Amino acid sequence: MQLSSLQLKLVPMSGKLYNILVPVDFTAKNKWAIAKAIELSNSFHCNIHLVHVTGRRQRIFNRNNYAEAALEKLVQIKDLYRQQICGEGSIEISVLNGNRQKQLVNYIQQYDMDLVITGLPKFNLIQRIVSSISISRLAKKTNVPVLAIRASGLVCHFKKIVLPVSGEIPMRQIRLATLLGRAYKSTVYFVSLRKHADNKNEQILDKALEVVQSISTIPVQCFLLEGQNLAKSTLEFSKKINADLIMVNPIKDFRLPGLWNRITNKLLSYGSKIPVVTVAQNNMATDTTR
Amino acid sequence: MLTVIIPALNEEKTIAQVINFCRSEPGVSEIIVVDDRSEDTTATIAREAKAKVIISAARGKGISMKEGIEAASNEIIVFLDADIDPYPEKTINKLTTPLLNNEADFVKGAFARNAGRVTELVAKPLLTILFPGLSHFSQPLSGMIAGKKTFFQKIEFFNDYGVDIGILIDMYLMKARVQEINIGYIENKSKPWEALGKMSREVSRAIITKAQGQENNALTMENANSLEVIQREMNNVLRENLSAHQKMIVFDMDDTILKSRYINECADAFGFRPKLEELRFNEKDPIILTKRIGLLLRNRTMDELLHIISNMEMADNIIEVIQNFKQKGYLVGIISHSYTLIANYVKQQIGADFAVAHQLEFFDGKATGEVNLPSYFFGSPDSVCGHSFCKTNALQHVCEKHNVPMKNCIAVGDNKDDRCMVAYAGKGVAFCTKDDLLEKIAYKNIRERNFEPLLALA
Repeated sequence: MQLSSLQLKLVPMSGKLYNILVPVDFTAKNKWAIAKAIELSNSFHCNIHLVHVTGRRQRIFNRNNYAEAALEKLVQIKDLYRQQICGEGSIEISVLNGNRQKQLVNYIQQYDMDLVITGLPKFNLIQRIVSSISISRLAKKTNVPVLAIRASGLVCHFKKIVLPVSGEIPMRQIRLATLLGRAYKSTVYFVSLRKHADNKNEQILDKALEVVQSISTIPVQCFLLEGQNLAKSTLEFSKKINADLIMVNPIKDFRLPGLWNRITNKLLSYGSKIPVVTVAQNNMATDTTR
Repeated sequence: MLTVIIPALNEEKTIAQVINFCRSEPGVSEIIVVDDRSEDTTATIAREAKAKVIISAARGKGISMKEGIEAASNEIIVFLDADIDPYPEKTINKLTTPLLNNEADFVKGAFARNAGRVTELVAKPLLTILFPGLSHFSQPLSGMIAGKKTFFQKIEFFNDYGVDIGILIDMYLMKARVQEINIGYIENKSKPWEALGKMSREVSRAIITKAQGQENNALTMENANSLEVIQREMNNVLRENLSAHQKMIVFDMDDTILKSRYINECADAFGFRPKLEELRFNEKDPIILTKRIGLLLRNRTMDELLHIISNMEMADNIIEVIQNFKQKGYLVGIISHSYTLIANYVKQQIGADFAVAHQLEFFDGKATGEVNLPSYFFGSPDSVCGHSFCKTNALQHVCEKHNVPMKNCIAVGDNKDDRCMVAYAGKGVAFCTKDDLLEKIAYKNIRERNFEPLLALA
């Protein structure tokens, strides 16, 4: 089976992130996404791409002028943040026209982004539903990790990384965790639900541990959590240990329980003040030749 | 009247033409060939061509030049290289006119040419810092010079590649009137890379020695720092330019390129299989295990070890696949925990570019049993994986050496030892592996002993 290069994109392992995308819509939430991107750029010497996609309304009404004004705003943002970059990275800016999701996916594909960072708005139900969907979709469509940051999530390191395990070895999360772990000298906490801790699941936890040890020297701890919902238990555990980052994949297990949460599509990202990175969990070794 | 001096070492092919060229120039009354103890017929041919031949007392261009100067009977002397044929017309005339017109005391011949890496990368940057007055010379290392005997006699000659730049600097320091004259185009063979290192060292030594000898000592700490910066930047630029688009593929050797494990074959041939299995079972530290396995090969001759590898089967289409990768611009290598003797043999057989492995020590053609583990297998603070002893460290080393980003690498391995390397390479391939975690980590799995599917990744 042959998959396209985009589908098979790996989380970078060469100890480096090269390009970070920050979608910009000129609202307050962009600030903390850009701030986090700058922290990462200073650690990994990578480039930050600030991209604004003009919406349908703007396109209908004053397309050219709006695009020019958006570009001008991006230039101002670039000037403002450029001084904070102290590594070898740089800030690139672009204004795109068209469907937001499509344009972002194209940009990620074309310029080989390694990470997307998006700010989460303070409580606003409609925005929450929209951005929850867009985070999961972007992560699934591009296979690029999407880091969601809230105003309170601006810690300048990722010392404690929580990685929930369910069903299969989370290879892509492990790769990202080892990359960040090596840079920030982090500890990775594998968590799984005790109710899942049958033979198969225990083996998966052991194997996940062995994979991390095979490819890095970062410390790892494994925990079996009580509870019925992995997202909820992970969140409680993360709060308890004062975690700095949670890695999830955009499947059902990572939605918080309860009817209201289900209706409003409340992802773990929204219930957490801790930054959450969403990594689509498709198996790495998809291409097998017999 | 002019004297032409031609220092020569093993130049039987061109010496006669150079002498005839000199004779054709008006004003040349004396041609001296200083033979640097050639092993060919240079001296005989020079005598037949009616040149005055001096056999040098010791080898070295500097000594030959000095002996030539002592033997010269004219005040104006021209030095020509013996290996250039043809010289542009009027070379001697152009070199000597400023001297005859009393406009200069020393003339350096410059010529349009096809190479000059040491000039551009070593001599010119050094001269710019230490002797800015000479920085405008387009070819400070040129050996075609002319000057007055009285000036030459005051000079100390270096006896290596530094001789020509040394003369120029001495003339400059003596405040002689120095000119550079363009004499036309000369086809000059580029020196091989190995010779460039020696030449660079000798040229830089000549310039720095002359700078240190000055009263005000031109070589300050600031200059040394500037040189370091230049060297570092030059190195960076060279590395970047040399391999702007380079890609690499590295293979594990045992059970990957080879159809079985080399040490197992040795164990069967020399009868230490039970000991080997016992070691593998009891010793978990990979460094100690490698060292102890090496001891099992003590007193085995190189011939015995090579005989075993020569009888081992390699994957059927490995040679074709490697050729294909090389055609696509890939650097091809082997990273193995086996021994360099064996890895280099396999490298030769399959046409790879490099092999990285451990060094089994030999004395009098027999293995001492000692195994030297190269430093690049060990972790450093910059190590991407952090493992203290790992193939990924070796991969990182070769990537840095050849300036290939790790994301442009393909790594092919088959067992637990290869997991890390396969994970960190841009594209990791599990080849006929029985290790299910390696399969999980790898970007691609090949389950048949056939390397052809690899080409899809190139």
